[in-house]
Amino acid sequence: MNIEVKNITKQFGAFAALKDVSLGIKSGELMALLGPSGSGKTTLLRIIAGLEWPDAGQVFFNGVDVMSMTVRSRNVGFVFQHYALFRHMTVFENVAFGLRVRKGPDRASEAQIKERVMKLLNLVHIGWLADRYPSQLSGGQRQRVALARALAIEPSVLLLDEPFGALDSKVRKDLRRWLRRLHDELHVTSILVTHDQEEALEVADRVVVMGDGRIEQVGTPAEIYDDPATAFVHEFIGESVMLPVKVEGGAVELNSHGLKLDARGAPEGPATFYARPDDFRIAELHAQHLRGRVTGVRRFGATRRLDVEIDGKNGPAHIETSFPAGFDPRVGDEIGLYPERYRVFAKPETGS
Amino acid sequence: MADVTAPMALPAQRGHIESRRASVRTEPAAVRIIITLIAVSYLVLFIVLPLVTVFIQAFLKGVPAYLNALNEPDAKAAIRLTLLIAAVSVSVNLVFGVIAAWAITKFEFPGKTFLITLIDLPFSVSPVVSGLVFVLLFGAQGLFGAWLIENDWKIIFAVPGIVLATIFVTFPFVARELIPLMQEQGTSEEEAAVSLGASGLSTFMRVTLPNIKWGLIYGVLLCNARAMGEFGAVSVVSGHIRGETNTMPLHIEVLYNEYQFVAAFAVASLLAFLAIVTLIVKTVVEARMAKETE
Repeated sequence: MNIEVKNITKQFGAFAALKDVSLGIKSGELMALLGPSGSGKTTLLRIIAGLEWPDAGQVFFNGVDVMSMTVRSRNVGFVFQHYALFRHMTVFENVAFGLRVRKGPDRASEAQIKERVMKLLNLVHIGWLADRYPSQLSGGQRQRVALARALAIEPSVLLLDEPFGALDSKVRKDLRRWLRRLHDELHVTSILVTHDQEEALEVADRVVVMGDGRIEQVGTPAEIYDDPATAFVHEFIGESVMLPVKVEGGAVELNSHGLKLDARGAPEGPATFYARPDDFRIAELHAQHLRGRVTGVRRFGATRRLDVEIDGKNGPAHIETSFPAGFDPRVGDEIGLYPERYRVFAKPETGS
Repeated sequence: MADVTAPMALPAQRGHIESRRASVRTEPAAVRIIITLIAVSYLVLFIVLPLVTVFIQAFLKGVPAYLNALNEPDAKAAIRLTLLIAAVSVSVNLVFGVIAAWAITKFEFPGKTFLITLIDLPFSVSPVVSGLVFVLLFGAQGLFGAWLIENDWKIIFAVPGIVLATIFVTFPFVARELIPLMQEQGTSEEEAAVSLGASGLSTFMRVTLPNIKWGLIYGVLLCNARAMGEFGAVSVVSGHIRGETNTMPLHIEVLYNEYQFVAAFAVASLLAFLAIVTLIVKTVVEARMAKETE
């Protein structure tokens, strides 16, 4: 089922949670809403579910306006941040809940319910926990129960609010890969909210980066990482090296020796030069390259990392980068660096 | 108690035990024993002794006298009336207590803090004032007095007045017990239930009610104990008509003032017994609640 969000605005008192947000989600897609806390991603998810109502705007499911429908009739599977399992029910009863509250001809027989619940519990690999209570389960097991419970109603869309937020990092990684495989099996349209970029980039087909109640960029994980559309996305995703620069005549001057680079369409005036640390090529010391001083050489298993301090036009900046074999730098060495890939955004440098 | 008896066991060994435990407990044994003794004797003197006295006085002239006192028509009428008052006021407060707690904890609305304060009002007002309020409203000289007399409605010095006063005095118990519990539980389980297709009623019956049942039982119990035992407010509105508007506490006072001590304490022993039952059930319920929130 495809989902269309149109011009959603939501205000909590004086705080604008969502500012005119529009978004399309394709049928069968796994979409991640990624952003720092307070960026409005959870609010957007709850509005799509029908747990929250926007001040303005509409949500369409397969072209049908669902604004007049409550969460009860939208047929969404919602996985809550802290699972929200029914604490006084067994795992089996938790998953059976959505089937038991059905009325009329949709109501399944006891045998059908049992079959369906056990099938789901086996799908999420916790069939053996059917008689336990939520308080007797680990975080990862609770997560699987929450997912099975949401899937029990055969939802047309699966909404997951920080599904791995409360788990430790090992379980997190296992579960998100497993979620991805499950999605490839079921093909249910899914939206996942997360503040963890690694999670979003690894799991999702497409990622929506949100900041301050707005959508900053929508794209595949590769597009988001390699081709950030805004300064916010560049800073939020991955590592960034930032140098304050000035755009003059369509170019930026990076060092005092006259290293000039094309401004890539950034408007004239103060701007910030952004590059990924790994996009710097180590080169010979040259006026047309950035001059850097090695401040540390570190080894992490197979990879060797170099800490370099570069003299930008307005003071030093630090880069941590890997370096090629056959190159043997020492602390205190002066080396040349050249940015293979970079971006210039008309935005004053913020922090870092 | 185990903590107190252990160091007292063998005086010869005490020094040895003290030195080993010095790092754990800083107070010397004498201080610990004195403090514990003060606490225990205070409890015995002010709580246990009066309670025991009630039962001793009640059975002073033997079991037949005790049973006769309870079998007397006015006593039976008082017991019946008390049970009726408690049944009505506890059911009303159960329903409205749950509704108030639900509204306060699951929804946001203006004036919420004011409502929470209002719920506590009966606790902070003297019971005499609570009773007088109803006399001023429904009494012969009261605000609605003339209208009530015209329509031949009797509220003050009749059962409805006693019910109203009791409801007023006991209102906070259920709501106060539920609000912190429901606040702690939040709304996400209800949201999950609704998202799975449950109706509002179904969500309440299948999710909310089972989650609050122990707190609810506890609140009802306290509410019932107070409803049966209320004296001040009821005394003002009842009119003390024997066999008609005398509840158990009022009946006890009448008997006592007439020097019928055995009869007075016999009826009092029923209220004291109720208090003990309430305490036992409370302990059981608290243990269950602790177990379930583990």
